[in-house]
Amino acid sequence: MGETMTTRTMTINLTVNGEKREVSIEPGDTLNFVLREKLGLTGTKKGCDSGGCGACTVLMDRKPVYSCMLYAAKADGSEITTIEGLQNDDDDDDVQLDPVQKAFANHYGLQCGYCTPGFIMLTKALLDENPHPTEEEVRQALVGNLCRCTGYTKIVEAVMSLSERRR
Amino acid sequence: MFLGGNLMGGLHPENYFKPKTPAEVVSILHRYKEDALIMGGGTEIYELSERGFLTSVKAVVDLSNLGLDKIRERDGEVLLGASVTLSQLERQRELYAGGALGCLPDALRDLGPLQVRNMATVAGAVTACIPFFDLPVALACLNTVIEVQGDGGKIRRVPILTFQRDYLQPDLNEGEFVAGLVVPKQEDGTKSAFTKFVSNAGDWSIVNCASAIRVTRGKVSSAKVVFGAVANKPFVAERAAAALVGTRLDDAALESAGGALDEELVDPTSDGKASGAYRKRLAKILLKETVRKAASRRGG
Repeated sequence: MGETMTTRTMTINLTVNGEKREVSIEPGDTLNFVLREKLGLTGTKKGCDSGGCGACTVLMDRKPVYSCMLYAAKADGSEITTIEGLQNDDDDDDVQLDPVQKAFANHYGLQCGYCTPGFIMLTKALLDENPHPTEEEVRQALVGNLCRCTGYTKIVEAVMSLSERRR
Repeated sequence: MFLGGNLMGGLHPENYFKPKTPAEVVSILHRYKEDALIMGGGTEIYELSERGFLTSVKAVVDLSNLGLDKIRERDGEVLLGASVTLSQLERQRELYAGGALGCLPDALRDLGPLQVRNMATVAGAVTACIPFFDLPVALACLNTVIEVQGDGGKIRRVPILTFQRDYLQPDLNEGEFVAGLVVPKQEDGTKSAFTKFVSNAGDWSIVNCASAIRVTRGKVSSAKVVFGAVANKPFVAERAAAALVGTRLDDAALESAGGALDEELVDPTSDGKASGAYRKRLAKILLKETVRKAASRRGG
């Protein structure tokens, strides 16, 4: 970072998981860096860091984006939802998982779990827009998320269990 | 562009601007000159910056607050503002009805992950001047014109094939930026298609091809064929297209167009992904596939 001494800091305002946050950033910081390192939201992962594996997927104004390649300054003023924003933990003793999280758990849609937050955020956005996707639509939607453990079968089963078409 | 490879990588500008008026954009561009970087969705910029290509950038000029995120129709044209994203365009299904945007929907389909399509802009895909991108080839086939805005709000209209001068080299002078794209609606009777060959769903095209043909009384009256990833900018196969005119697109006509392509595509790009000879062979296959696909389309 030796050559970045002249870089100025700037302030951005984000609504992260419903909470307004004012963050001081450098202009080249990515949203992934800000979420993980400045806001301590480490549920969002950093994987390939080049827009392809999907582990860093978050929702910006309800649309899935790769936080690793999204400059935080660009996200200024937007609403960000991360995996931490899905569970309802109003009551500390009884954390309620989101239905998507439950489906992944119930259908064993994960093994090592590193890619899981990204898959869940993408699924959340997919079902928001299309509550009853076909299996083909699910597979197509998940093209930007990689899992090196499951072989995808259980992940697709988890998502399909939430598709109203299946019910 | 700002190509000074540096292993350190990343983007470390002093300032990040989100101007609200074109005049502000122009003023910042004049102030920072070659140290300014215009940003659309930022996805390609991120990739280039991580490879150490953008370390000299001092000011990022993000166009997203200019209100250029509209898709409008006007007298046989579709206007795409500079901030229109790939997924935004993809959703304009009513525009596709009747084939007004020709082969553009073909090129938008399977264009990388949704997470990228939600950020990347159509204007950025053109301004980046990356030779293996899909959209510039389809847009060139549709005779798209780029609206370049500069001093005093003046707009320069540049055909896409002129605008993309070379690898990473858009036709932008100091103080200018791309304000939008004008895509002429495909005329009734013209049909077009886009195809590509990729090694896997997440990869760039090894070769891609767009073709538009017009058939009058059973015979081709006009034809256009454009290839991507075979040169530093979209390659217009004029001889191959000429060989199709006057034919009924039978096997012999397609074979003869392939022969003409062989002659004009002299030295296609050769890189780690594919040799020039491989690309040449692939281009001939895609030529036939694309023309057949266009011809088989119903209606306009």
